Amino acid sequence: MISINELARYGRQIAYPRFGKVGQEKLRASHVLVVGVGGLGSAASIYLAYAGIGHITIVDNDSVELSNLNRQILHWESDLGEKKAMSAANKLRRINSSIQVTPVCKKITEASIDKIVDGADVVIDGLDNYDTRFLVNAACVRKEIPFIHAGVNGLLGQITTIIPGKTPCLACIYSEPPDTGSTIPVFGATPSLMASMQVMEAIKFIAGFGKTLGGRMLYFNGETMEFAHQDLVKNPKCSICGSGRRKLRESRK
Amino acid sequence: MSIKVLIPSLLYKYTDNKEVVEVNGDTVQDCIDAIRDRHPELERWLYRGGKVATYVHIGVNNKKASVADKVKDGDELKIMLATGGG
Repeated sequence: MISINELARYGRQIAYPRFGKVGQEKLRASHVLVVGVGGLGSAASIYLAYAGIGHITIVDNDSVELSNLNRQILHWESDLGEKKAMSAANKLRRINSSIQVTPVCKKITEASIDKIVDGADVVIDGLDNYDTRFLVNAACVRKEIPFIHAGVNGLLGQITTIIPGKTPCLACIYSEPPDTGSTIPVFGATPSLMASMQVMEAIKFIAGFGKTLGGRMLYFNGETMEFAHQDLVKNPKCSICGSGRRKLRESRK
Repeated sequence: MSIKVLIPSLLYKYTDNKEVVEVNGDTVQDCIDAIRDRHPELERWLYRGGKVATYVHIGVNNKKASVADKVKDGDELKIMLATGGG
């Protein structure tokens, strides 16, 4: 049941015909994990909180630095030196006191990732490197949790939604880790734009309407203001979601 | 045969700040090789083990293309690189 308070607070999204009260109840019952609370993760978790996602877990082991403050909008000057997960959780609880926010100050490793993703309905990519993205992708495939990937560089961005068992996974898309350079330039508006789209994908998936970016990569070029799509293809021999996975498991026996 | 190759902005510094590089070639592979030959620093970004890397996505006239695809005079080839920042 939607309360009178919820009806007032979320009325403008409940009014969306394909969403309604049932959609809002689904958001309230959902648990979204945001891995990395930098440029992407800040903006994504803000919109998740405003939308009324019932439980948001944010994972980040870094601390806030001055060089973060051109884009990581959940962290302020007063947070310098503070753990990012804690800084983010403090703001998110003030944005929406009716939701549960769980900060996790832990490094994502092969040993820790399965426990971190456990219980999430959707995982949102706020990471800044492909090695960790591949770890999260593999865990999401194992646990059958959708993983909404995004990446940014300067005014460029990309996004796709990975639905285990249905769409190509990150290891299908990139059989080798992309070279993304050392210091990645970025304007704050770029991750905010891509994160907004990640949240749209999460809302559609959780509430069960619309068409996600499953099997498609959306590229954005802010320098020319162009969007481009690329169809993605499953790799039948993928080491994470294809036949390579079984071979890897058998070889470990 | 002139093909326009649209360079992603993060690679402008390797193409003398050119957003578009015109090359000649019969296939997508020829065109990528041609821009690499003209701007050798692109090798690191576009190739792995001597082949065009799997993370380099290519569109010809806004449609998905693979390296073996043929191209014709006036085609527009767009390079889409994986972005990794968060």
